[in-house]
Amino acid sequence: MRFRFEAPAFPPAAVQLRDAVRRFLAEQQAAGAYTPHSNSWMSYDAAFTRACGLAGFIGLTLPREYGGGGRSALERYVVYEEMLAAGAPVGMHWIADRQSGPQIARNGTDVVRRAVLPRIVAGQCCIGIGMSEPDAGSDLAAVRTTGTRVEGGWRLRGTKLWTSHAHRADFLIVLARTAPPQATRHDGLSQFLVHARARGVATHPIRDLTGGTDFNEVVLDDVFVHDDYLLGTAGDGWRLVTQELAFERSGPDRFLTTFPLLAQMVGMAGPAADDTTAEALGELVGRMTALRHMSTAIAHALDEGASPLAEAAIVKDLGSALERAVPEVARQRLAVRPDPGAGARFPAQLADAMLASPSFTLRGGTREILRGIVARELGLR
Amino acid sequence: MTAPADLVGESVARLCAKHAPLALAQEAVAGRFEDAVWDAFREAGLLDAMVDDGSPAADGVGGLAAAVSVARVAAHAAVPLPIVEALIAARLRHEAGDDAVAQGAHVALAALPDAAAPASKHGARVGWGRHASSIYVPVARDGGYAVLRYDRAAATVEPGEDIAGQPRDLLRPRADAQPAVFTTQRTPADVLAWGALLRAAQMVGAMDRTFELALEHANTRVQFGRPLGKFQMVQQMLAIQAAEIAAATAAVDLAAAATDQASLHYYAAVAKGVASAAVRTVCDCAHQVTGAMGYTREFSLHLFTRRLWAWRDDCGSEAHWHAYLGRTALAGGAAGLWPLIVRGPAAPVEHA
Ligand SMILES: Cc1cc2nc3c(=O)[nH]c(=O)nc-3n(C[C@H](O)[C@H](O)[C@H](O)COP(=O)(O)OP(=O)(O)OC[C@H]3O[C@@H](n4cnc5c(N)ncnc54)[C@H](O)[C@@H]3O)c2cc1C
Repeated sequence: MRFRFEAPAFPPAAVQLRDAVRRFLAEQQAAGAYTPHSNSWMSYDAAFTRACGLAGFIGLTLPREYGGGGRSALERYVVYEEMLAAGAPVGMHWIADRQSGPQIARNGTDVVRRAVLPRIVAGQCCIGIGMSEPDAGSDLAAVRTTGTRVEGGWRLRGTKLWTSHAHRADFLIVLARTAPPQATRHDGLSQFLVHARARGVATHPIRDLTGGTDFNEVVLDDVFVHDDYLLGTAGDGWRLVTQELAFERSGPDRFLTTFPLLAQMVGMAGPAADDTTAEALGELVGRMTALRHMSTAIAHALDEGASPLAEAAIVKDLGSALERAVPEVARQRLAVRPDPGAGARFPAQLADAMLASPSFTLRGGTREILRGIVARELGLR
Repeated sequence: MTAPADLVGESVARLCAKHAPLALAQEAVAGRFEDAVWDAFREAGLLDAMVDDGSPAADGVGGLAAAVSVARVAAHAAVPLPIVEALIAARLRHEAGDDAVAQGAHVALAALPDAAAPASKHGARVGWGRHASSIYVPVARDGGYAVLRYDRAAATVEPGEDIAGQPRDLLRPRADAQPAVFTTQRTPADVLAWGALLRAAQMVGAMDRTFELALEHANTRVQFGRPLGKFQMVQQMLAIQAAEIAAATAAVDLAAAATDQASLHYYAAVAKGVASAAVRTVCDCAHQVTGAMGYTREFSLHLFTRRLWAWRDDCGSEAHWHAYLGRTALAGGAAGLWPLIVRGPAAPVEHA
């Protein structure tokens, strides 16, 4: 039994695209639009997202008829990895671009596609993922939010938790139970696209370890959703969610979160660094090189219509451990002490990355759950 | 891209199934040279897998993918022979245009540079050296590079072995030894990179088998009324193992696809660094899952875990290659790090 990662050949257009993204990022930085930082795919910056939209760097794989680029997953990959390596604040559009846009393109009605996809592409739409709930974390099928059939649509009731960006989102994709469990608990679930400011939606930001307020509690009190805004068919929600998670788990955001820190560490240590420091940095660099290869191989496999669930879980498990090792090496080998008071300088960035690091192995499926997916693929469960 | 190399791998697997069953490795007297298996490999042309008879302008990387397959699959079968030393010797001999030595029963091995103890005129450690007919040694010489061919008879042999019981002999040229000298572009560092990559390929093969044995044991051994594999802790150990092996495999495949010498050095370093570092976790989990049974010489696990413990230190340990990668990254500075990760270095970095 062996998991294989076939090296993809990047299309020639990807080379030009990479240059274009690098030029764009250099211009943005020169104009003072942002300072590179870790965990930048959680950083909400409407002006930056708008600039990305105008430059054509959002929705690359979405269908052309809805304003998308109609390009391959590998080209999209190039844009993603360049943005993250440069520590750019892509948080406003990240989730929409990574998973919600493709989800809507696959399973949305034409009305919804026309209403939402062009806005995502333009960099004018933020989407939050309403999966988790107070009693449904790893055990996602335990969601209690209900969707009840009414004239012309559905009414949603329940509470979502940890919904990133909900307080500034335009839409939420909500997983709800629309029928009692049948053969399995996975039956009877459905996904809805919900206006984040619809009547009955109340959003309460929650302060996280970094001190920021990116995620929220979202109370849905009898929220009306028009029939057109059901994704796929009623009862098909679990399949949609699983499909979406395969896209979510294997991208460059799963191992590059602290890359901006690592790049600075290499600069700070300099060519005169001692052997122990070179060794510690080299281990991170080597693993990152291998993980990037694995991650591009999955992007390619997804393009080919495969669904490499276990491979994606492996990339996220190894990648999130690597992301977390970076600040440790900064402490141990460069003797930097995390200092939240250091403005935008390295010790402050280190403090921020340290504080954000517990989330790396939780969000998008905990590492234990990921290993369970691998074990299932190995036939153990 | 890997299709031809996959075919090579399949023919090695067939050959091993026929000539080198696990029982052979298990029962082999430590260090005995299995002539029949050797002949089977040689006659199938597999020991020449790395000879790049296409363009010499393949910049030194032709034949690598095929050689990686041979090394990996043979190690998966625990073939008790110096396959990698032979693959590299054949390549060096071909590059040197050395057709003076007899073919057939002749055993040509390469002295793989050892990052910790480089070859010197006082001798070199050569895997399975006692069984060699001739030994190829890459050296720096007269401001350039040469490959020396020694007759084994022109050297004294101080027998040694590695932790897996494989011969690792110290060969010292006698005072009157007259090696054949071939001037070449091939540097000892190039040969070290080849050795590192092919050892990493062997390690991936051996780690795969280690994993398969642990998995099979977990599925069959019953405790508390259930197969061990039904316990979540055991499942997690196996999943951790599988992830480490996946990373090492990916790193080896990446290096096998290197298209020029500069990137080969970098990707071989990644491969050996990742593979050597994976050994600790992989062997730890496999031995834990297999309990006392795995701690015996009867159960075949030791054929793989002991080789892994030996090979991770050959041709540079993870400490060596991580430091090399670190030096490469540091030379490029902060701005050079991302391009390095995306497409490897622009030029090879000298070894310390
Ligand atoms: C920064 C951040 C952003 C997030 N954003 C979103 C978002 O936008 N939308 C959204 O829907 N959710 C979001 N989440 C929630 C995230 O998906 C959950 O945190 C995650 O699924 C785990 O659920 P939980 O936190 O309830 O932990 P639990 O499921 O309670 O797990 C706690 C611990 O128990 C372990 N555990 C649980 N079950 C098992 C088992 N069967 N076997 C072994 N171990 C087990 C877990 O691995 C973990 O270590 C976010 C989380 C974070 C940290």
